Amino acid sequence: MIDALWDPERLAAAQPPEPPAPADLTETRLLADLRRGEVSAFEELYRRQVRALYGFALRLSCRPAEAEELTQEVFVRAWEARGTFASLAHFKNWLRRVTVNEWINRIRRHRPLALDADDGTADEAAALASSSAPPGLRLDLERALAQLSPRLRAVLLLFDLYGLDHAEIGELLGMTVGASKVQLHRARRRLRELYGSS
Amino acid sequence: MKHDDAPRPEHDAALDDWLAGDLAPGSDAERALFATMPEDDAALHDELTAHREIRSQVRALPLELAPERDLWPQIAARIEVGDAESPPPSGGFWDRTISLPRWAALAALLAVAVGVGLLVGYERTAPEVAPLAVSSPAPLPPATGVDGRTGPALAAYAETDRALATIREELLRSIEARQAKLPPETRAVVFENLRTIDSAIDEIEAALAAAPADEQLARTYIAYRERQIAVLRQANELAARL
Repeated sequence: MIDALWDPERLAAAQPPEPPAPADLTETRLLADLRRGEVSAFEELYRRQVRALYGFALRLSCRPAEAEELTQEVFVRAWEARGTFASLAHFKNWLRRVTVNEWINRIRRHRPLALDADDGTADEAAALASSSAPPGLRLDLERALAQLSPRLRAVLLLFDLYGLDHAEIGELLGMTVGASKVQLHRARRRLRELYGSS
Repeated sequence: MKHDDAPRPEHDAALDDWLAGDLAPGSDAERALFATMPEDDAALHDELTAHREIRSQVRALPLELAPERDLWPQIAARIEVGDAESPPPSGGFWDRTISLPRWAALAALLAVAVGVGLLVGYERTAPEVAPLAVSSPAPLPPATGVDGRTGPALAAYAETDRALATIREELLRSIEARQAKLPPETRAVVFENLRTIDSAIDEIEAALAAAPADEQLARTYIAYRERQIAVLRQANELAARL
């Protein structure tokens, strides 16, 4: 599936990147400093990215403590891989990709049967909702999301909230495009059941 | 056709695709069905409404959330320990000054290191797999200026660099996905070389900022970008074979 990325026509048709916005220029400089091993640049990049990455980790895991651990782990790995980041977009995609991989690996290590089982973390979902959103409908939605199995939740969030397509989701989660579509359908159906009953 | 509560997997899957704007070409019948049915079918109308409502609520969830405590001190402590155990390559071979003979020496070193590192991996693998097809942009045209500071090469430099950046981005994404397949020693060689190349590129970029009309620097910069892509391409091909 990933070989679809290597379609020469697609590459040839790719448009030149847009000139970076001023904010991006600052971050591009920070990234160059990071590649040279400057910790201060890494800390600044961390400060700029931590809310997005922690939010991503928390959405996936629905467990604040686990999301903190994931965030820490991924930034430590980012430091170790600092020489490989070619662009800011690459850096951000890398953070997200490694977060997903690490999250799945942790589930497989510690809760091997949990990946496809309903999560049943309503209490923590309530904590999540109360800390991150106004009360009411969103709390119910967050509670319902937290009760989805990790795999269904990941597919649904990656597609609906983070805007990835099925090929990207399949690559991240190790499934085919067709399987990703099926999982998305199941996730939506299950979410409606849970949301309707909450 | 009336909607009921019985499962209709063929329509459910298509319905998801339709809602996502991703209904396959040639599905005109289903497209028309979904577009017109809600008017005649109250149950389907309700289902679609609920579906869209949940989707819009999911999309409205905040993407950024702040951790309850500052995670940086622990990250800083861990990277400090990590660096003490295996300090990153810096100083020594590369200092603050730019010298072309060092680039030449580094290029030779890289050729040997990458070659040895990847060949170790290749020997373990079956070679009968089609290589990844990634088109490279045209090389820079030859310099025409007598003093080496004029000619079409500098004009082509930015365009070539943009094209290389696109390819590099694709290759980097792929090698991230595939790197787990590489033997650890090969992976170490690949990423060590990429780090070294990046350091060299940073140095050349700094030199180019000071001397933007220097055609030799521009050529060297492009050469290193091409070398970086060659390393990524080799690593991807190897990972694809494993």
